[in-house]
Amino acid sequence: MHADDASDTIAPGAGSDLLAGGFLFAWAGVGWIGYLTNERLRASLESPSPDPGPALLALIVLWGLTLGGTAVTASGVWRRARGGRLRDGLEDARTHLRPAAFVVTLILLAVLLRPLGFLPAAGVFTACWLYGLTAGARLSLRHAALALLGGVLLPLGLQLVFAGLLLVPLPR
Amino acid sequence: MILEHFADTLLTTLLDPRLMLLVVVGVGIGIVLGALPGVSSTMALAILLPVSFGLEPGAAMLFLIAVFMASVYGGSISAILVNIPGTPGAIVTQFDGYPMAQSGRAGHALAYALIASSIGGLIGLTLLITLAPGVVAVAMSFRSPEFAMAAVFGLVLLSFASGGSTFRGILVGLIGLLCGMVGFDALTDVSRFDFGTAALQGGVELVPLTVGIFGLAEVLRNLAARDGALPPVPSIGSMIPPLGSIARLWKTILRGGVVGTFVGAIPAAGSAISVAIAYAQEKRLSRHPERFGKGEPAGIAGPEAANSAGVGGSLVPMMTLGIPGDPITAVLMGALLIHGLRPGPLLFANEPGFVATIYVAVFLAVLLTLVIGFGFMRIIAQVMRVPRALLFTAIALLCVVGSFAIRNSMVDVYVMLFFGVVGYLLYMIRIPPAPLAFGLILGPILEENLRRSLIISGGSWSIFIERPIALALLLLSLAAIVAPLVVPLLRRPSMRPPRDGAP
Amino acid sequence: MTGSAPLHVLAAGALLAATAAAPQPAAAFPDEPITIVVGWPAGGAQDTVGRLVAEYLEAELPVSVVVTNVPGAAGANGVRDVEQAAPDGYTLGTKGVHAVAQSYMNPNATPLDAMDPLALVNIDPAAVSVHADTGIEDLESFIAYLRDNPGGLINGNDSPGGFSFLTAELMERALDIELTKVPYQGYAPTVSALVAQEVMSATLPVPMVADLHEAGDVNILAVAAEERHFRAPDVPTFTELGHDFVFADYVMIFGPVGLPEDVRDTLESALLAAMDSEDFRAAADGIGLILDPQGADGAAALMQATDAAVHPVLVEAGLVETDAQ
Repeated sequence: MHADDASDTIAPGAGSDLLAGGFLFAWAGVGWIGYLTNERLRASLESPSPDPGPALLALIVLWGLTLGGTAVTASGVWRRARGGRLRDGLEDARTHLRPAAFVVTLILLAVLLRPLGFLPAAGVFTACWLYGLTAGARLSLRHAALALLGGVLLPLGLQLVFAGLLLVPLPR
Repeated sequence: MILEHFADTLLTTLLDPRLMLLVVVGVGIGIVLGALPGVSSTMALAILLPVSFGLEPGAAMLFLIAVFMASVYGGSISAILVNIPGTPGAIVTQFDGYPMAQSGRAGHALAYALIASSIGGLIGLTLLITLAPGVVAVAMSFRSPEFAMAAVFGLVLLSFASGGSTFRGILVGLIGLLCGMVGFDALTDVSRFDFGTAALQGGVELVPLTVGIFGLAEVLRNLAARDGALPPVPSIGSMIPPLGSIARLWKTILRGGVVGTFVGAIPAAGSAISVAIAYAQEKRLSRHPERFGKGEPAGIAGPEAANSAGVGGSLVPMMTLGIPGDPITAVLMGALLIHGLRPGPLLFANEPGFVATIYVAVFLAVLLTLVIGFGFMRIIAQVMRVPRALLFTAIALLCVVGSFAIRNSMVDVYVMLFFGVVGYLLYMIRIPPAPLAFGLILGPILEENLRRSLIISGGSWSIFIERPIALALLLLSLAAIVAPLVVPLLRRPSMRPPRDGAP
Repeated sequence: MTGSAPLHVLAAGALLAATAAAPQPAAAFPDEPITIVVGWPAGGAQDTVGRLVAEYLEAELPVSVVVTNVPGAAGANGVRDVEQAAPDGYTLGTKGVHAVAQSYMNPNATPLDAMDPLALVNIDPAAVSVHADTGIEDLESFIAYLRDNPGGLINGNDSPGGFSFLTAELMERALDIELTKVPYQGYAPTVSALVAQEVMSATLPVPMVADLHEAGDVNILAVAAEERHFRAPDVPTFTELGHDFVFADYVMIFGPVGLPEDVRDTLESALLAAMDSEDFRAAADGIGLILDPQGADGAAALMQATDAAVHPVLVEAGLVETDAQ
């Protein structure tokens, strides 16, 4: 694992600043849509009561995110103008392939949890990833056997603890 | 008088093998449940409530408080070993605990946390016994304006403490505030940012957010590699840190313990603010603030002491006023009620023996957590040796099951996955994730109390300036924001950070 | 409920694992654990009563009864979980006045006709208290003060739609007074605000303030019930003082609509039997509950009566957001 702190491995650069600005804008954008489509919320600003209303902090936060996003984007543009490259502060795109695949399979797992039940869905997920992470693209009977074993035991253990002891109604 | 009762009860409990077994079992269950992602202290207690129905009141309290205390330490174990905070307080523990474990000193990290946590717990108990009226007076002087300003203070300190720039920390804290606004507004019942869906109406739960943004994101981070290799297995290192470096932490632990007790006693403020204060104050006072966030013992010990001391503190309002200060004491109080015992102003007068039982329960729970924690530390630390492939898959599954478990809802699982991706993105763009979680915790406290203050003052903002504690918190927050911007302009940056904004 | 604690947990787990093994052919109801969904966090009033009922219901049925907390959206999430559960009797829930209010205020909440009340457990009458330092010692001076200074007392209550909010609204009507209402999230923060005198009065149920009343910090002025409350027998009712104001929160157990007749009967009689036990009564007494055990019909009648009282208030306060009526 990464022994040192994340912020030290790669310093912020033009690329990561522009991305951070976009990230903040994305949140602000979704927030603004939520605010502007909510009539009751906007109407609360007009209310005569001493309570400033539920829109006050929402507006402060949305403006904060919008202005903050602008500032961070500006810092990225500044760095780019001073000769920084768009790659600066970012990792190679291929780095993200495996995490992306992992998330996709997790979403699949969540979708299939109810139709398949916890044990089968989690079993397939576990076995596949155990094999993929240990054997990679190679064919290996030993790794396959270990992956299958893990695929059975790990979900069973979780089922025992959460459904058995903690009485959580896991889908089955 | 209460001390005699305390000694009496302690003696009878120690001599009763059945009661001692109950405490041991409670501590064991508490450590395990606290360490499981998704099972908060509140949930651990709620699960075990029915078990306590079968016990007499004293034994039930002994058992439940043992679970409570031990789960607080359990929460730090998962924070240190796999970067998933078991309790909100443990979010700060992982700032230094996780890097320390990753650099091959998992044993030390667990030991620092356990020692600080135990001493902090005893500090909280001592103040609970000796100063309950004083503590409650401090707690009661906190009203809506003070709560609002304390929440601001906590957010600012955390943005400062969590590494990276304070400005970006605050921005990501704003995202947390935004998430905290999803669902019904606490004061008017107007629904916000739910886009008309029932799924979002219940708001964003803290556990799926923290499990995703810390736990799953960390797994994703470790899977990121161009060549497809997994990171190496770190070693565990020795279990007992050098005595000298423990002894050097005494001031840190004492400060953390005192802060934790008083802030923990303020209803609803809870552990989140106290650990943020404890961490920030250690970082300010340290001669090596640059080591924080990379495995500094004081960064573990301060917040851990504050977190555990908060248990004693949170019992104060319940015992003296009959008001549970947080969800956990609310469950404890529910248990007391079912046993026909009513905590409140009359409890000390009518049932001093029972008050002593609660003190003894805290005392024994702290001691046994220390003993059992050390006994099993070597085994617990073996988590670090688990082959990476198995560990990451297991953590991911735990994240899914733990999020589902909070209220048996798939919505929470999707929320967890979403924040897992958000956490990974934050790492990519060099912004620390912790302020987002704190924004979610403190945002609703801030908004509710800010607006309530204004209702009470008839709309006049001067209410935050006229009340001395609120004003002090406001000025300290401003100083903490402004100092890092202004001070470097005034003199050449040095390794020592500005002291102006120190709490 | 004897034996050591962990054994009990293990036994419950083993039981569940065994029942989880395979779908059994139709057997007599019930043959698997029953879940009671509470829409509020652990430790609250709904939760405490729910757990108490669960514990004694277990003795009447051959299966275990588990309480699950599904908080969020002012209790609406928990109620909706029950509404959407299969109507097989294995998922029940608790609800109070909040479910009536939510059915009008929240388009996503469960409408009243989608809940099937099975039994009423207890009622929790409304009351009004003031801090002792206000110098107000009885309802008469409370009213007199407010007539002289309309809005002159800051009252702590729930956010709109909550029980103590509705209490304040209804009381303002019944007594022709005007309060400045300040919302708090739940009863515990309201009590602490009253103790710290951030608010001067509070429309909290009696058990929340009974000890403070006895200790002299708080004066409970009147109880909105037919009879005096046993936890504060010196406090008169509104009716005694000549004001027609009776209003109570309650905890009832309900299921989704469409339960088979025999399942519904089994549950109703088991609930009534559980609430009839000596130990249950003693335990409820210890908590300060006013038991009012009634079957499905009684529960439904109370729900209708509450509906009739609450709806006009919500309309007038501009809180009705749904088409229900």
